[in-house]
Amino acid sequence: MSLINYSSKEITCKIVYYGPGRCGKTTNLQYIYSKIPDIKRSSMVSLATEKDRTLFFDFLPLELGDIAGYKTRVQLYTVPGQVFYNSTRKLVLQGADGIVFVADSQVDLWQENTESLANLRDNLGILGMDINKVPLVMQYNKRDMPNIVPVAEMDHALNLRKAPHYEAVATTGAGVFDTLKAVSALVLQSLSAKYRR
Amino acid sequence: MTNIQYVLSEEINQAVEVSMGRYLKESRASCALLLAKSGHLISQAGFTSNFNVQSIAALIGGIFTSTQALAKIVAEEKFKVMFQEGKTWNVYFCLIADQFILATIFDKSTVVGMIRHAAGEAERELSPVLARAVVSDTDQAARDLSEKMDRQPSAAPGESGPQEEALPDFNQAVEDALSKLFS
Repeated sequence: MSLINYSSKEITCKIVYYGPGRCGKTTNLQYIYSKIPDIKRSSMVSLATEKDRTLFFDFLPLELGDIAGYKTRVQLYTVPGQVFYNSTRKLVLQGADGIVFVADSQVDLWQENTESLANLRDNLGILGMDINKVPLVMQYNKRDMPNIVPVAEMDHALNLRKAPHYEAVATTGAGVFDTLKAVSALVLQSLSAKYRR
Repeated sequence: MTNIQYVLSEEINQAVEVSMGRYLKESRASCALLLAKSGHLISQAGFTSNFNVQSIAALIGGIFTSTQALAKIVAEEKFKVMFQEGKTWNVYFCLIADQFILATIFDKSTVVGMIRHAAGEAERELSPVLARAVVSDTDQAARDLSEKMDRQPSAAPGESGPQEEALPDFNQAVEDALSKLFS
């Protein structure tokens, strides 16, 4: 649900980071936020519980500047990953122009990844969106952990659509910007291509 | 799948700005924000420089969306109005044309009754204008914009025609934009 303003030549798009609890969605946004130079930094909004778990969403607006003649702004959101917050997840997902699915690479978290992906498919369906059509990037996070699933295996099981995928260690920033760049480009590409038919 | 977008033409923008200016004057509020339910900011009027309006818009979008979910649970069609009272600042939100939210921040120089009355007037004025800003992916306005976007990066003076078929290289454009933002 992008906003396009002809007269001020502005485009605003919404990108949602989705995935199981503690997979690193908020860490992705925190890393991006930490790298914005002070002079360009606005604020990141986090609606979290007392234990720093996302309660509603995190929100980080990014001014990308001029792209194809339009002042382009992407708004990054995360959803709460915990299973019982599904109604909140659906609300945040509403109007998403692009999605980053952050999967936890640890062997023990395998089931959480598959459940979260199924939940994403279901919630998109309820909102009238198709997981096979929405701009999507897969991020296999926590590649620095000791007991992890090989990327090929994760990709084979989770990425049936063969969306672009990136390995990441969000705490150090590895793969964070590659993911952001890929999803932003996909969203703009989709917006541009959608109306050409 | 029909994807709803908000496309603001020059004409819609002007009409919105006039209405927002009038609303601010009549309500005597400090500032007013008009946003889409998704949290996208459309217009602002008054003294907004004290506030981070992007964050305010995202939060109000979230508040309103969750409130509508709450309405559904208690078998209410929708909640149209919300009011938050603070020591210095108060915030009044109201739903406009089902897709938009008019948020008003005000202090003791006015009262909620006046805000509410003026907001009703603004709603009547803004609803038909904003209805024209909601477009689906089949609309001409959005197609026109897409063509403009596509032409822009590759168009050289005097050139026309073939570049309409080529999508711009968004990968490179985004990479350049991110490098600039984070440098």
